[in-house]
Amino acid sequence: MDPILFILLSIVLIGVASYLAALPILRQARQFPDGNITVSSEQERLDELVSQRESAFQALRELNFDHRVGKVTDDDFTAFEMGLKQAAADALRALDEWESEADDELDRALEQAVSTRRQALAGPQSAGRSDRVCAACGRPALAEDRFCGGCGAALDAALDAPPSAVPLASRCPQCGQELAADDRFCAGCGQSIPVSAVAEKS
Amino acid sequence: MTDLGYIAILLAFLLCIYGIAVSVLGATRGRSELVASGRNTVYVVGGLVTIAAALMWRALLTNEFNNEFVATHSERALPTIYKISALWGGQAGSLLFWTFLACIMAASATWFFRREQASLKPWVNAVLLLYIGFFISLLLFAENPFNRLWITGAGEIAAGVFQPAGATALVPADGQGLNPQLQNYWMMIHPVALYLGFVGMTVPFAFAVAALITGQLGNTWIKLIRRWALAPWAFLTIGILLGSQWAYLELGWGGYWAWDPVENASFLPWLTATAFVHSIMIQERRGMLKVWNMVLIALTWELTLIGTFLTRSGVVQSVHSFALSAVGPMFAAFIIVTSLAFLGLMVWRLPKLKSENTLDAVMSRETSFLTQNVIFLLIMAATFLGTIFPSISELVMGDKISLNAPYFMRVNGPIFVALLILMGIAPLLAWRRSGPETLRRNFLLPVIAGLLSIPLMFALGNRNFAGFVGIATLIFVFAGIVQEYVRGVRARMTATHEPLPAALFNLVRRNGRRYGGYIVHIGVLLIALGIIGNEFYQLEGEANLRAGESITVGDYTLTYTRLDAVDGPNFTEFTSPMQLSRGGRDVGVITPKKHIYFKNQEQPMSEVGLRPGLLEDVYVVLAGWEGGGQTASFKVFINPLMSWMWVGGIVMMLGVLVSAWPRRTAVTADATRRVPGGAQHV
Repeated sequence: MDPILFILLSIVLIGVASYLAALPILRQARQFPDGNITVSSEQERLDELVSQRESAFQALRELNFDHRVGKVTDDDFTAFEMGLKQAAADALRALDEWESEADDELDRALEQAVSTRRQALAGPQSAGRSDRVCAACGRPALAEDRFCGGCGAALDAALDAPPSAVPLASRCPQCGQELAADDRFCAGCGQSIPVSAVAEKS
Repeated sequence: MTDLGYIAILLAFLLCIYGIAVSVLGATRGRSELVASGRNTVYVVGGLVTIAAALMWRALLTNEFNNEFVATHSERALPTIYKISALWGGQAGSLLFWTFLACIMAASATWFFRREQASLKPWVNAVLLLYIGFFISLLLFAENPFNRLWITGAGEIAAGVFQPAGATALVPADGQGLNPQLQNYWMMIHPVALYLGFVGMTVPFAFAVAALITGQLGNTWIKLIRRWALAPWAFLTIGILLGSQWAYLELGWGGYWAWDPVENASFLPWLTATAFVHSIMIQERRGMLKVWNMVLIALTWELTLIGTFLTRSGVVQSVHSFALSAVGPMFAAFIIVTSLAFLGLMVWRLPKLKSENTLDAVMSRETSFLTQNVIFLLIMAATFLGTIFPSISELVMGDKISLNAPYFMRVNGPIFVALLILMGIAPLLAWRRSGPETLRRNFLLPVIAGLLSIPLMFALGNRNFAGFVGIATLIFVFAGIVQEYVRGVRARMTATHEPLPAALFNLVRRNGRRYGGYIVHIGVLLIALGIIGNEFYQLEGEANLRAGESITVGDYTLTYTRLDAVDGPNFTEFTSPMQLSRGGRDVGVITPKKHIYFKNQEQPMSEVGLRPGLLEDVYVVLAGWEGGGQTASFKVFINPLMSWMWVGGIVMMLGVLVSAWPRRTAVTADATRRVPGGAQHV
């Protein structure tokens, strides 16, 4: 074989093989969702619980089958069935607990996502005012929220972010609306805000 | 072009190291792109090794005698089919073929488990790549199939991938030919099946390691790998049986198993794997034997390596061992390091491997499974000891004392009978506890059937005590299995009012694991029947005959007529058609043959003359001749029930298929998480 062809083919082989092996790193795993290991521990815990439930059900099925074909006596059947049903119930309970925990987590994640989405939709003006917090539970609230999304407490002026969090200096002198550092007009009443005043006060 | 194969395996080796590193880093740091890269590496390494194997096959098919392996394991006149199988006809080629199969297995497993157990996968990939990397290192550093032949400046022949300074390429006009023993159709598939069994055990082993490292030691990994343990087990079984068939038809000594070290090398992991596929059932059902199962799968995997090490390192001598080789120390180091690492992992995870239950009663299926496990290990230990005894005796006493078939049969024979009895007992016991009433109900008929067979055999003229015991045991086990089927079908017919064929079909379909397992057991019984027939009832005779003279063995008389010689592609075939009669009645012609290969005249190969039958095989070997066929000597064996051994193998595989066939699960989706009503408005 021609040495030059051999070297060329070797280089192609090395190049293609290295590229394919390193592809996920080059693409930051965007196209390799099944390679994602960071979100899987919950799924695996679920698999294990489902597997325990299946084992309990399988044992019950087998006991029933063995009883039907006459391999297990009535006495043994009664004695073992109780224990196996208990095991199945335990497995189901564990699964229920896992699911309710997962629900809570999911609810929290969803609310967070909704909140973030709302802020994004509300535009940069209101996004700048997201540091409004419920005094009862500490949950972030949007400027137009009248009640807390987390605990349902009424969000009035007194329950808004503590005064220290938003300096008085960055509020509209006309209506008291919070102002972002670069606001030239008040988003609440349209009052013109002198640039120097905001700069100085902030 | 073939040199490119060397570049491919060299690159594959470097990528194995890379793949192990990114998999471990990805797993420990939770970096999914690294894990995905490790997974891609498994596929890429597979592709590279496939290229290397394809180039080697190309070299064999195009008679590239400048390649050392081709020159020493092939020849121009070798039939094409044997040029393909020549790849596993020698040390270097067979290691490449092994690596190729390991890559196929690793890539299939990686693809198959692509959506399962994300946190186990990087560790599984790392173990698979470690295994493949080790085999590639043997190719690179000990047995390179891509070595070319050179004539150095000093006129000596040298082998190497690259041209030594001042050397010229040596291209022999023809190769030395393939070992005649391997020029046989059974040798086409027997090693492939065995290798698939050996490499396949790496998947369950890799999952065991991953489960230990991640601490996920529940039932999930066991359930995931059940079919991946059954498949290599089935391949090992097929491989062993095909090897026996080869020995029966080619070695010409009337038997099928000689307890040769290479045979034992395949039998040892089969024993522990059989124990494993049984004892994982207890872990699945009762959460017990977790440590035991870990030990069994590790032992099985290590035994696939130890067996290979023994036969490829020159440590033990065997009829089909490979030449003394540098792979020995590398194998030994790999076996020691992996065993110690696995042991360390197990000790670290011992608290998590605690049993969730305890044994309820002595008479239970769990206990019978445990006893059966111990028996399998006993056979394994006895066989292992017998296999390495020559080396130990040489080390201790300076004399190489080989233990032959009688040792193995004396030690293992009674243990096998115990195992058979247990195979009959276990399915009749219930899980957890079997009281006296259960025992009476389940054992009465099978025991009566077994006992009744003894006077029946006596009446039929059978006077062999060991044969009595064996056959009575088989009938006891078989009656137990039939009883299980009858009861199952009857219960189903009562519950569903199905007709008998539908009830039988649905019973097996819905309880595939149980009833498939029973079918495997029936296969084992048929094999045992063949063994009993051959061991205890074999008849043999030998004679040196002139044309027209006869030899009589049992009811059969064979008459020598003539010796013919015909040239084949790379051998001369000597055939001797013999007239066969039974009780004075002509029943046909039986033709033993002998092949003398042009390139290996000192190693003539027997092609047995066989007249197979359900009750007995007539087996004739042409041992030799004088005066161009004026006289010829023959060995004649009457082997009762041997056909059942091969039927048993087919039945076993059928049982494995039934047992491993994917079942449609009930149409209930597991609610993994509730979707809040508000979500749809987001």
